[in-house]
Amino acid sequence: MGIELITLAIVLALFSLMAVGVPLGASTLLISVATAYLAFGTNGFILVTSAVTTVMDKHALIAVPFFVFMANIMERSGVARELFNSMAILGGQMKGGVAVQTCVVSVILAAMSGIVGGEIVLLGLIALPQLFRLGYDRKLSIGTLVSSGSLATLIPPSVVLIVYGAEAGVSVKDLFTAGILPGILLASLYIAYVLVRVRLNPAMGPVYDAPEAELPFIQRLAHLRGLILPLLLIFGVLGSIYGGIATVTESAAIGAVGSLIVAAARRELTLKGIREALWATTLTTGSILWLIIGAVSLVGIYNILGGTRFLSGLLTGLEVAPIVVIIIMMLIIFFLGTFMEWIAIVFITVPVFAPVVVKLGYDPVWFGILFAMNIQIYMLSPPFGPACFYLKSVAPKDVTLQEIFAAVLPFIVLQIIGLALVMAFPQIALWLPGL
Amino acid sequence: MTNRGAGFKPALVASGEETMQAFVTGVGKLSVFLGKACGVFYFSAIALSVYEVFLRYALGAPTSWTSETIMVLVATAWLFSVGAVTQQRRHITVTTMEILVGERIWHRMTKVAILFSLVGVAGLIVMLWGPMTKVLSQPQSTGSAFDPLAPTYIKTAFVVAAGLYFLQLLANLFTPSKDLAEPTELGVE
Repeated sequence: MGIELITLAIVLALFSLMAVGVPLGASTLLISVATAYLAFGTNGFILVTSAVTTVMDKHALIAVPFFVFMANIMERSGVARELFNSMAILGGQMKGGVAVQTCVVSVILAAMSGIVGGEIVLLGLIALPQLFRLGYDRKLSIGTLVSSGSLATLIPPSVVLIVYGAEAGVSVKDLFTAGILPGILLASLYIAYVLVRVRLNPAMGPVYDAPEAELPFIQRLAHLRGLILPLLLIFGVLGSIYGGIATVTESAAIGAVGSLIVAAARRELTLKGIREALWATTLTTGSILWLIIGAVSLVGIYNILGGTRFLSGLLTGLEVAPIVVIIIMMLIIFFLGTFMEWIAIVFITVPVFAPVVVKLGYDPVWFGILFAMNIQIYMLSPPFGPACFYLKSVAPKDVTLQEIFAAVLPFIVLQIIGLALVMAFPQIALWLPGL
Repeated sequence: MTNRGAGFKPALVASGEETMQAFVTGVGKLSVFLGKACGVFYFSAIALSVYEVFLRYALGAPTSWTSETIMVLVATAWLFSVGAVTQQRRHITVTTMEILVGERIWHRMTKVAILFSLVGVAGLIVMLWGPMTKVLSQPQSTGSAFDPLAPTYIKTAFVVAAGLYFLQLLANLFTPSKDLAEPTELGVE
């Protein structure tokens, strides 16, 4: 059987197993075992085993449970609520100010944890009721919250960038640095969109009604104390990486301990809270590992069969401009995102795409940022956009999934604009790492 | 004879059901216990990472053993959390078909999905068995300055964890679909 038919058979089998409800990790595992046996007999098992055991050598992945734990602790503390209140007061009497501050708070929260799910849940619980109460346009509120909450895929310490870096063999520190400006670019696009909409129709974004918001700007600055602990935490995590004090993994551990200190300083740290956070961390990261094992074993055996070479050849053999190949890769990632978890997408596509990107003369760091921006679009896109489901899980009952998906559509357009800008001007991503 | 046979059969069925229930409960408890224990491993790894940074920068005395120890701690937690993840049905699954086929058929499909998963995990155990027996007969170490027997440990732990995964899948298979935890469609974003 040729590699073309094998590829087709693998794709069909994957679709069928996933449709039946077999978990993604088990689906890929089953297909890899079957493929290895059919192609090489029992000798094929050794090939898959060597691929599987390499998962444990991916040192950068250790940062993932640490960041997940940190996010779980922060989720259980009142830091985000205080941060949001402080920023809303800082926005003062500006029309649309609370929506704008939601974007700013999202960036700060993203820099604190790197986990989209936790961030959107927090914003859904804290910001959405406020926006609704003030009479903000529902779709504008929902769209702002979901899109800005997804910035954690791009802003350091992004878990997406850690996993990409581990698989592509690219410096996670460089990826983190490269993600800063594109992240700020997207946040700026969201803020600009909110301000334009509110300018055109002021009823969409009423002013904040807290008495403190009416104070002169200087006096409002006093309310910024809610920013102190989050900024210290961000400084601890990112400062330790960029200061050369700690590796990404160690900085994640510093962040985890920092989150405990922050919770303790706020008198919110309990043994029960730590136990719950550890349990949630165990379940979340456990599911990731077995997904990675399945994906790595499938890619491992597919690689040995010449599949990676076949797909690379297909991409590099296209008689089109190199940037078109990058666009095709982005479309493939986006397509996979409509039915597949992003971690599986990383482990399935990056081994194929990363060498092609280098062969075409592009920087894999830049491609990693494009990848993360694409994942961000997938987070919002119907029918499975996870970010939308996260919000639905905590939004008021009358907020339907259809309303959420309709609300995020303009923001998906903004994300595509952002992606196109970074694609057209790679320096947006590469300028900071090059300094 | 007829009466004795009729009485004997329900007793057998009852005994079989009790055994199955005991198996489901026992494996579930083991999975959750190990899952909760994994939290301690993560916590220790976090503490050790910060300790290493402190030793390196505050005391100028980096260690040669923390990095590999942290790796082993995290690997242990990752591997042995599989029972809890399976018991709580946290493996990332596409559940869209439930909307299309309805609850009753979906419940049957869930059992089929578990059967497929069992085959996949059984395959993994078969694959990992050889490397495990090899390292157990000729233990491998990392070859670093600290030189722990990490490869031997991880290859063995992999098989044990896959065995736990298999047992919990089997327990899920024997659990009525309505009693299974709600599956998750979302992972860590």
